Amino acid sequence: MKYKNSKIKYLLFSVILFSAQTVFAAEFSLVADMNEIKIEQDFVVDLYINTEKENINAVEGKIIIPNNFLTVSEIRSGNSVVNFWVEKPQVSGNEIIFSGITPGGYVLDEGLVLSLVFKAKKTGLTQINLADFFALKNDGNGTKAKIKTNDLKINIVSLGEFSEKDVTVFDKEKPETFKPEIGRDENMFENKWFVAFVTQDKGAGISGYEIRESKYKILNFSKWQPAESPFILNDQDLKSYVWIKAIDQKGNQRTVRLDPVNPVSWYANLDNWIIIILAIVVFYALRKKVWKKHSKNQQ
Amino acid sequence: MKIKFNKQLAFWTSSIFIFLICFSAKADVYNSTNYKILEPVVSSGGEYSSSASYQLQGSIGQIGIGTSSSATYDMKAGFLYFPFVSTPVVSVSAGNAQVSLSWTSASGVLGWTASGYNVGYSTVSGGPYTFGSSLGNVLSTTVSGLNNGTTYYFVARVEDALGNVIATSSQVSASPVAPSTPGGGGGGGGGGGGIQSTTIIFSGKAYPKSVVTLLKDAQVVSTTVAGTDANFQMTLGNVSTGNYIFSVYSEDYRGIRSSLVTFPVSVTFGTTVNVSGIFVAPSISVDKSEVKKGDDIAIFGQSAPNAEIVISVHSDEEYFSKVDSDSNGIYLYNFDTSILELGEHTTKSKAAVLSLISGYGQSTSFLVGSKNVSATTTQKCPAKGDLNNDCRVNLVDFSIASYWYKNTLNAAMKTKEIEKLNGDGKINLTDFSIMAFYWTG
Repeated sequence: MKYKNSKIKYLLFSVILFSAQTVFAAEFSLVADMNEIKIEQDFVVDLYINTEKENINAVEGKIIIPNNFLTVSEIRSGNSVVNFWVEKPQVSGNEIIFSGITPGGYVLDEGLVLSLVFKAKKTGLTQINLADFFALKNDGNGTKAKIKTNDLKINIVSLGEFSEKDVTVFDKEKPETFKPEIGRDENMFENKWFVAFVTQDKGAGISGYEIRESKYKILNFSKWQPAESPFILNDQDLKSYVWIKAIDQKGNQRTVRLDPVNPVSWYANLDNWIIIILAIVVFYALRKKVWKKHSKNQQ
Repeated sequence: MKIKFNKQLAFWTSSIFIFLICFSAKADVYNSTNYKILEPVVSSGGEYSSSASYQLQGSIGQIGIGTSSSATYDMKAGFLYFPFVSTPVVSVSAGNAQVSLSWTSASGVLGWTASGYNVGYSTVSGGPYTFGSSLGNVLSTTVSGLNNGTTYYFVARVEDALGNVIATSSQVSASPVAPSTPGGGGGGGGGGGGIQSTTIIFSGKAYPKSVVTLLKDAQVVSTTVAGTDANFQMTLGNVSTGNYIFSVYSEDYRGIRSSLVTFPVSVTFGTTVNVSGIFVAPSISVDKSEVKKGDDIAIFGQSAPNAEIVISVHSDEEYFSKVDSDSNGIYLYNFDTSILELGEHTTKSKAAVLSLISGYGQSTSFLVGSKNVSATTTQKCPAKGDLNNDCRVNLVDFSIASYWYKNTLNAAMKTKEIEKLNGDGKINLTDFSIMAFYWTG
């Protein structure tokens, strides 16, 4: 009996010790926007991080989807605490793998990492699991923080009437302003110049980027082409303007322009000649008009 | 019987062991060759240590007649050991008859832990503020029932586990506004319901006359120059609704960059958000890369003018010193290394001025050895993460690292990885985390 008591005491102390140690673990949690889901119904699941007072600047993880119960219809990362995705969240089989960083880090009790839109396929009790999650401290060494993950249980019930919940994002705003950077490195792309760019869209999220290069701003007949960062520049002499267009999931666009690093001399810039010719034409037209008026007055 | 005794003994031994593990983290032990005091109660801000069961008495003075006096120095006695809590950066956003507030987590060191927060408000700048009950360990709240058009002033208080106030943020103001009614009757002119712009105003302290850089989601969006009092203010317009991570850094008089002060801000459409109490941590340098044990090493840098600087020298044991910055924010402390062991040590500093307390800035290291070696150049470039050697850690470096992510590195990249990242011969999330720490945008 006494032995049993001491066992209980051991257990109690272990629980106290365990809970004391787990208090400061960064916690990843999945939160669904509804409790009970019906077949064919769309619903949103958010992945949050509670950093528990730690300053975290990098996260990585794997979300395991029960493919027989759920289909992923959309991944949203627009409003994420992650600024730069090292691995952009993408569906691969029954997994969504991601990793990303936030320069300077953050201490948050409810930081949104990403959102997933699911469609329920069949009834039953199922679970979305979190595996291989990491959170690294903003300490200059990339020290791993203690973490805790909370999976999400989902109850999918039979087909029936359900009030259609609109999971679409209302987004009329352009993607965020951004500042592309030109760089090169002897260890990649044969030391060719490339342009690096990234932005966020706080609404539906970024869909993609397009790029075009031209030595001339006015006489620009170059075509937009899809691009991913880093993008090797066509003009390795860096004499061209570079336009980069960020497009969000709703088609809203933001275009930014980089001026040439080594602009062409004024006489080689066709834009200048266009302006000069136009100015001459206008000058002669005005002169002719004034001359006509003048000669009319003299008559 | 013997088994029973052993089990009981094991139980109580392990209980005591567990008890010690649980509580030793909070107990502070101050050792001296002459005396030893366990678990000293250290208080700042005008409070005194007290206990019903013990009394600590001390006296400082000459043994003979007379009292030491000087107008040029002050003496700090007792535990040279300065617990502090950094003051939160507070963001306020006005709504209809309400104001939403959020703040950064306050970090406490040396025994102080931020366990809760409270928000006070007043219609008079400087207070007195009206506080409700403690909000608990949360980082945001909404104060409702306010009058539209009236300017309210807010402060956020940091509380310890017992509810004692251990830090108070700087004041921030907001004026609740009624929602604009669409259109309105007559009159010519353009369609009603014009788009309201969303604006964020950032204010705080950096270094006198220093360039302050603002990053939005890690990309540079604005720079300004701080005043001679180190105060700065920046306004960012046309911000979309959403959650942002903003960061601020500055450069001291030698061009040395501070660490990033980062704060999340949630923006709602058509509002003005005030972010107040940003305090850039001091810059820090040392005059020697190696110092002969027993000689002084000069620890210096810049902060706000007339700030109280706490310098920490970290080795097996952490040593603390205090010095005031001058009217240009510059501080200098000659640290006697006789108390340090031979080997590598790091030092960092933080600042307090008025009610603002910064977090610790970046640390710098030095060696205690057998000779003095001057620190050759002041390191202006980030110590790590700068893969293309342009003295910045930004998207280009991120792209270079991404190119090699999870791939086998070539010889040149391996060398670079050892020099600029964590040196494990591969590019993984740890290297990106190092980059994120040294990020300059």
